[in-house]
Amino acid sequence: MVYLFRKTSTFVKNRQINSWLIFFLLVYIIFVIKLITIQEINNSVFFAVYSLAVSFYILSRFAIAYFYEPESAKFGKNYQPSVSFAVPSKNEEKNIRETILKIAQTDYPKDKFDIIAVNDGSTDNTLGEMRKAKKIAMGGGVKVEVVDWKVNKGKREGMAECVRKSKNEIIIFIDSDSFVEPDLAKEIVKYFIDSKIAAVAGHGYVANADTNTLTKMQDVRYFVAFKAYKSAEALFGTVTCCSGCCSAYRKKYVLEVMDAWLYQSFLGVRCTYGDDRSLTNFLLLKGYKSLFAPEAKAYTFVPDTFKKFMRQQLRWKKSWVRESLKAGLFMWKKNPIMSISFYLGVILPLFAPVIIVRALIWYPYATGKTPWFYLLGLLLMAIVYGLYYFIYTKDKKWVYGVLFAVFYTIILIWQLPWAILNLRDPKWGTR
Amino acid sequence: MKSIFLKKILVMSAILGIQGFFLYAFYINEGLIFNFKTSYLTKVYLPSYIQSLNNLKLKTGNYLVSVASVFNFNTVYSENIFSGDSQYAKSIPVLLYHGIIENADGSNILLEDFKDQMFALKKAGWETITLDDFYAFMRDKKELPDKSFLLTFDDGRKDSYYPVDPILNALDYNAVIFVITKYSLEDKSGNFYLSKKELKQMAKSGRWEIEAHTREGHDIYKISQDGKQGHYYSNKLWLDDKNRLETEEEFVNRIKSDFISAKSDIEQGLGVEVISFAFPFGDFGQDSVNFPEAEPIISDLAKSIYSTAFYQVWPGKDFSFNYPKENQFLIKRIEVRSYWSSDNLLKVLDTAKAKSLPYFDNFGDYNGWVKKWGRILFDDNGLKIMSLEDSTGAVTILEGSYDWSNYLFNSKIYFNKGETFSILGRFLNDDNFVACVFSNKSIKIEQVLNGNKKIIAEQQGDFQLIGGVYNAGIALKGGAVNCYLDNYLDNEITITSLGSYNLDPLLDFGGIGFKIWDPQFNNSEMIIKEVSIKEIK
Repeated sequence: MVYLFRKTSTFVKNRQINSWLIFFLLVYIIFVIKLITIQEINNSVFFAVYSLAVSFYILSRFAIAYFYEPESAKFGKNYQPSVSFAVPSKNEEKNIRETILKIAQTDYPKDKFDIIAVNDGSTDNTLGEMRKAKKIAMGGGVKVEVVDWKVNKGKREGMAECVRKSKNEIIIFIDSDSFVEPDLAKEIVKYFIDSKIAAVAGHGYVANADTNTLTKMQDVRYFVAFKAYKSAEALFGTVTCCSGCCSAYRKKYVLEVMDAWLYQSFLGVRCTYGDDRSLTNFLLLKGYKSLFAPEAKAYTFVPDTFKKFMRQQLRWKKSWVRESLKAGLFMWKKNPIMSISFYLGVILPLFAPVIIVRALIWYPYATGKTPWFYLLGLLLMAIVYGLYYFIYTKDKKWVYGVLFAVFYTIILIWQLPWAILNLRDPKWGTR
Repeated sequence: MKSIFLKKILVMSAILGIQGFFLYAFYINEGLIFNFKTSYLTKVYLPSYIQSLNNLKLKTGNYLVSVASVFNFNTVYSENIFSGDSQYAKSIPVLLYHGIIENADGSNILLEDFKDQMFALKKAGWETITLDDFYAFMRDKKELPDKSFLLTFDDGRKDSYYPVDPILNALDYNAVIFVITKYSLEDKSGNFYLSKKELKQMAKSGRWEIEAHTREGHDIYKISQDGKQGHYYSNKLWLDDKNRLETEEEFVNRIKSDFISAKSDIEQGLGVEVISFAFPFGDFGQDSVNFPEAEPIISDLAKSIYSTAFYQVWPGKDFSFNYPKENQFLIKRIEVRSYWSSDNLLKVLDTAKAKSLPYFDNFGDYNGWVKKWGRILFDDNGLKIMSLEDSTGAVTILEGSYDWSNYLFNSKIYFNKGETFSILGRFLNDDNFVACVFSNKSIKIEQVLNGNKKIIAEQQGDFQLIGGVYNAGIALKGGAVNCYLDNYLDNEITITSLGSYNLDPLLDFGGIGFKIWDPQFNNSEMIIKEVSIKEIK
């Protein structure tokens, strides 16, 4: 009895358990709200189904992610393929030297990795910084190759050039403004022991998280997007986007799809953005698998002004639309849970604006009632989102996650229709 | 590796299981959660819980339960003592409630009063019956224990269910609820009426029978051009678009369709059988404003669709129990008044239930003499009946005498003023009875059948009724009726009697009463010292 009591009290003292309890309590309340919503709006089946599907989709990400425990990661401990770090960059004089030097500190046999940096027609001193970095790195025994293009060819060409130049098995793409942890290579390549694996996404964190509210919000967003969403996809070997900031690809497989990828066009316009998602997509289409490496950490700079942020998001949205349409053609062949998740993930945001207008504008206007119930559901969902971040990081910034979720629901969903309208506009949008 | 995955599956199943369990718990208790009032806890749930413990204790004698019941201040259990000489009920009351409320509104019953009433009924040995049992009883197809009653609620309000159900559960009672299908079966139940989901749950509990109250007829409708409003069931409605009243055909169609849809709404919506209908406002045509012929039309229509129908009587005005004597279609219900205590209710039931013969009464206790006309009061002299400023007479009858058939009814009376006084026998209702009518000049035997008065015997004489104590009586056996009067003329007592064998066979049973009459307002009065009724074999 006493033992049980002591066990219970330590159980309760454990803050993580407490947080989980709150988490599940909130989830419970959300379910209850859904239950009531379904019963009350029999006349609007679409609205009820949508409301249910959204919560189901988001919560199921958390649930599925929980099961992600890649087997190959355990077996691959002593597996050491040769690796090339690829850093395509343009006008990045501020960060490029540190980016390269951080890579150079990688804890991996020196003879088994090199660095390929492409200066894609920069108009600033990027090339000079690259060369400085090369000198320092070479001093430490790390091979660095600098490719200099006088004319800007685009990121995709830069990435492709790295693949061509590399003599190694694995290419790890690192954004020119991302800093990697020394054990990144070790943590990310072990997944490649499984020969079906074509790509592995690292865990991107925000380097400038503490700058302002916007970056704090993005910090939470990044964490949840990787930890929950990418894990949920990785459980089925189908990470749909091995993002540019730090992802590893198997060169052999990339070469198979390289031409198709490089000269990809959409709606008659050559694709010049969303290169990472596109490459992953080509590989998945081929039947290869992609995974997520939670321990492979890289820190990247995120937009710190609202304008830059919105432009970046719009760019992402556009590539998301394009690549989702493409992926939609083959996703049904994958694991049923994965394909249902995928199609839900595509369809739900499409209708979000209609739903939000109905719930927050039309409904109060038509009935004269404030949609407290709906807002409560929204807020709880946002808190659950933030709490998920808190549980793993114990970081006070979680409240910005709540803020972000609300911000996303009310503002960001409007970007999707806008992105669809501007699909053919090839503008990369300055980074 | 596999075991980690397995462990995670287990953890996730546990989480989903717990979530699912609580979600289900919420789902089945949703109504209660949203309609719960904290006062229910102390006023209903606690006493009901204690009662349940008691029931358990009675059944098992369990030690723990006995300990728990130390905290019990409300020991209530059925004493089950059958009063009177009969183990079986001769008549059955139907109680009518609407909402069970928190703050007095003058018509609905307060929660604590309701609880007290139900507990008191249980303690006094009253038990609820089902509608089927009641119906079988009324058709003489089933005998039910004495002190059986049918508990009913009108309108299908949420507050007829949430505060009541735990009490029913604890007392092992059940009830019938008459719902307005326009609200309850159409997702328009709002916060006031029970929803379809709740009704399903009620039906499933086995404690509730769901029956028809009406579909459209619980509102007030326009019944004349000048905007006068009236009951849906007993009036022709005013048709604004056609600028006229309904035709009889339209009236019939409307009533018929409401009867049919009220039944089918419930049967289709809940999958339960509906056999009865409760008239909204208790108006089956008798309160019609603009269509006096409505009553037989409504009655015929109702009979074609329902097995039985309910209306309400004010207790103390008429026989308020139901007797299986004549295939009664219309069932009387006692509408419980908001100012009644549980003692009042028990008294109403005890005095109104069928009385057995012989019967004697000197009015020391109140035994169910009800006023139908004029005024009655009890004082040291006995029962006094008198006319009022606006009435030419007064009538009282004895509750519980309805099913008496062959009896000698003697009374000791003192006739203060008036032209005639009557001893009433075989009294069924205002339109059907036999009377011995005494005046200074004559004794007559009057038979009132379906409202038609007929003198079936008469004897002239010289009776000085005013100012003396008389024994007056009526004897009834089969079709024979005799009237008696002790005549104190010239200080000599002679017994005058008058007989007839021509009583209509329809009047072969009925209760007793008194009537006084005078052509002038406020000019008749009689004191009844005692009555005694013996059965004639």
